[in-house]
Amino acid sequence: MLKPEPTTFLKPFIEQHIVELLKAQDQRAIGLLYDHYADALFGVAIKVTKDEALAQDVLQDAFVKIWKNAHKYDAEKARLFTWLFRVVQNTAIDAVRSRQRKTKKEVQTQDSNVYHIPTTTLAVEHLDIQAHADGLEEKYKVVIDALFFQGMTQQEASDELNIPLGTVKSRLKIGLRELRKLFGLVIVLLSL
Amino acid sequence: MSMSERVNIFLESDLLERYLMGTTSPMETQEVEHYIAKYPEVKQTYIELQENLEEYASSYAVAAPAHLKQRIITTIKKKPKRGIPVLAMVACGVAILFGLVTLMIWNQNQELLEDRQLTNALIEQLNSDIVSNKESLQSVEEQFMILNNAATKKYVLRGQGRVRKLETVAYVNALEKKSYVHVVSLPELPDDQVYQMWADVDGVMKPLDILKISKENLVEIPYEERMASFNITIEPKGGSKEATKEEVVSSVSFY
Repeated sequence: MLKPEPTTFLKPFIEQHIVELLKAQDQRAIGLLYDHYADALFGVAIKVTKDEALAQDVLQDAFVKIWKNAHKYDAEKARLFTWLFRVVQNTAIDAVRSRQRKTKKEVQTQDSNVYHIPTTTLAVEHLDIQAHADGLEEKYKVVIDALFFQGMTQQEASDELNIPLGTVKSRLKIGLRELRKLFGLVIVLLSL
Repeated sequence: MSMSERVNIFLESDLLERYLMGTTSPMETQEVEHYIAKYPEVKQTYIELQENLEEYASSYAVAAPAHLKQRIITTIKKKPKRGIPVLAMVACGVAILFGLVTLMIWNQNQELLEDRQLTNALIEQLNSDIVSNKESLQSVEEQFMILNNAATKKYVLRGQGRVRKLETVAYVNALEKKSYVHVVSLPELPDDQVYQMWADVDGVMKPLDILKISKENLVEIPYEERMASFNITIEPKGGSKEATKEEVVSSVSFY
């Protein structure tokens, strides 16, 4: 069951408190981080790995990295969630690639491009389309998911989705703008 | 180019979106951070993009397992904040090993030094023995030569009266002008008396040597020309300059 979201106006204070505890290497920070961010980050890990067991390992590894690299976080450059998202996303992508390398080694394929991400991982039927994002057109969602959850560069997304690079760029921008509108609407509706 | 044009061009590019994802190059990162710091419009867009990311990601939230939280906390507790660095531990190990090896080598070196000293002493002893043996051999050879020399004459002096057991053999080589004695046996005398050997030369007794039992078979004694006889007397300790004729205990004439 998802934990209740904290009241929006309290979020910045909670975030600041967690960051202070993290910087002081106070272990209470991890408990608070887990309570407030684990669900969203676990969702990210599942989206990237498409494997709940692997996603659990990813989440655990990511939290250990967050703890060990807390001193590297700069609140001036990114929100806490942005930084957490990047750590989880990178850990998950590494785990997927590691598993792919292992699988390839086991079947002894000749393909040496270990960074190649099979097209199947981007197949629309594998994308977990949630109700919250239903309002977003598929063409934007595919691009955003490829970049946010598959760890692709824009060029890789262009190649894999078979759409021009310029289109990837514009769909990312427009998609994010559309998301802003959608989430803005949700926030407005929730606040009514 | 005006400021707003520059900002628009920047926002039209995908740099900010890629910066959000952490996929910009170091130079691009520097450029983006410059724009964020300088232009409030860019900063606001970046804040919105971050909010969008959080909202979008949160829309896929899945309840994280409760047991995972405890597992993470346990894992973190196992890792000390400031443990002994691995390199320091390796360095310590190497230093201890180095110390032990040094001590071992030093000990071995000491043992080798002691062995060398012992060997040197043995070699010295052996050298000394060789010299001594050479001298002995030379002496024996000389004695052998003398005894086998056709010109060497042998005279046996035997004791009389109370020193009957006295026996001394004298060898004289007139060609080489050498005289030797071999003391075979000397009956004991009081501590204040000695046996002294004399040569009769033109009727005068000339002192030759005080007789002693010697390790050497032959002991060289002074050679005198025109010797007529050898005589042995008993004299006070230290010997006399003139023979005590009453105390002649042995005598042998050459003619």
